[in-house]
Amino acid sequence: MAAAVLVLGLAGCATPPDDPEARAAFQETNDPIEPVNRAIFEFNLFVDKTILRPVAQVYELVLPDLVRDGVRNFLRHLKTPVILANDLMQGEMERAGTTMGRFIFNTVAGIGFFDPAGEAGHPYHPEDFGQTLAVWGVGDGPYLMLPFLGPSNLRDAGGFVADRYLNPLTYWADNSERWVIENNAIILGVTEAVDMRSRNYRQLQDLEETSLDFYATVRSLYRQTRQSLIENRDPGSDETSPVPSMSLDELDYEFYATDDELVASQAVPAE
Amino acid sequence: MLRTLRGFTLAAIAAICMASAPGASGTGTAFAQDAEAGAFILDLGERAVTALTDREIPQEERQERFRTLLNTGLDLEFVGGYVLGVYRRQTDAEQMGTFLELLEENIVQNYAWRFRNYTGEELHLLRTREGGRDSTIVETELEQLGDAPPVRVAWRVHRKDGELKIIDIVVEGISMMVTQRDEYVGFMRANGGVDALIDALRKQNAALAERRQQG
Repeated sequence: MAAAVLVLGLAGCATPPDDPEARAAFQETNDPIEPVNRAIFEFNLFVDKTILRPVAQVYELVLPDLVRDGVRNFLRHLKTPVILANDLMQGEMERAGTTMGRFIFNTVAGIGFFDPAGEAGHPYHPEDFGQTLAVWGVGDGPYLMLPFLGPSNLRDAGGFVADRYLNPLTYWADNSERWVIENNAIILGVTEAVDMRSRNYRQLQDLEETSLDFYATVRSLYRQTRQSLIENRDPGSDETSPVPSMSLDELDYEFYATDDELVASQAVPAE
Repeated sequence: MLRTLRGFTLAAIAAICMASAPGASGTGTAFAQDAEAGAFILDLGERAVTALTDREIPQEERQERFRTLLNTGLDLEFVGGYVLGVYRRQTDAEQMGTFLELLEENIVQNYAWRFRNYTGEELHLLRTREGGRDSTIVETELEQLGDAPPVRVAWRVHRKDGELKIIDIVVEGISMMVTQRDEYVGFMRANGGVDALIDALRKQNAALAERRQQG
């Protein structure tokens, strides 16, 4: 599988364009296998249109909000070990405490399906090994579009695999004969996808309709969200800065850099 | 990922559904680079709600009122230059003029009609702070209906010819200007530069206008 991806990747390597502006853009986006990524993106959109979106629409129509929120809460509940491990590996003791406290409180008072801890002012936050690697100083690596899973990059894809090993459910699956348990990762993943899609289809449709290059828009949004998550700029947190600090550096860079600086700044990828 | 998209769309909505809260005041210590920035954003929000949310006004009227506000509140030239990214260097004055016109029209077509569905969400000022390069960041919170958590919207503003103007809107960490630039640059790289972008924008504006007429 990995080898196949590698071969595909090499075969699909885009050659840097000759036009200087296009080449600068090419280097900035760090998407060396863009042709392959775009093909996979088309495939994902096809899967979305033919399967995911219709299923999500039915899901939204048939189930009351209460049930859908319960499903989401339960999915989040099951992620606790992975989130906790990553909180700890990032040295975020306070957030680890929140994760632990939420788990205990929501188990006892919410049986996993309700989120009384969130209502009491301790909201959920996601965490994964890709973010942990970033905190440890690992760069994004090239952008990747994964079949079914969507946008990622080399670091986050590695993190995704590592998180499987941090998840007790993986070991349960390995030691079970029952189909549901054996395939829990897929079942939970699909459920999550349906739930997320049911909450976003209007917005996504809007975005797809108005974007001149939906692939590029999604790539941009992925990068910015990940950056926001890595810096723990959660919605609802008390952190003062929901503004990406990169934004201004880029302003400087775009508006004030001379050609020499442009070349120099591209030699060293900015964090 | 999908969360982001939600955030992004909310950004768009926030950009329009701004309303000021009468009791809003800076809750944090304000190290405002520009002391008037917070009031400027809240005032703009109030004017938008007053001028645009009446369900009875015809679509064309709403669009023209929105355009007026846009011209008052946004530094279109600055934003236009930024969203062309590396391609700005090969854009001549004539292309730039055409592009800015089309960009303005695009923003009007994309956003003006959304005000129609405004349902009274309020915009609260959290704090203002220095944004570097003579810009000020105004941090606000847009209330949501129901028990959804409020959306955090930050506005980067600077002065142009003495007037305060918005240069970026950042919703839950997603910068509209960066997103727009990445979209345009991606498009220009795949389709052949600024002229291709100008063509595409022209077509999209026409399509949007047609759709708004119908709906």
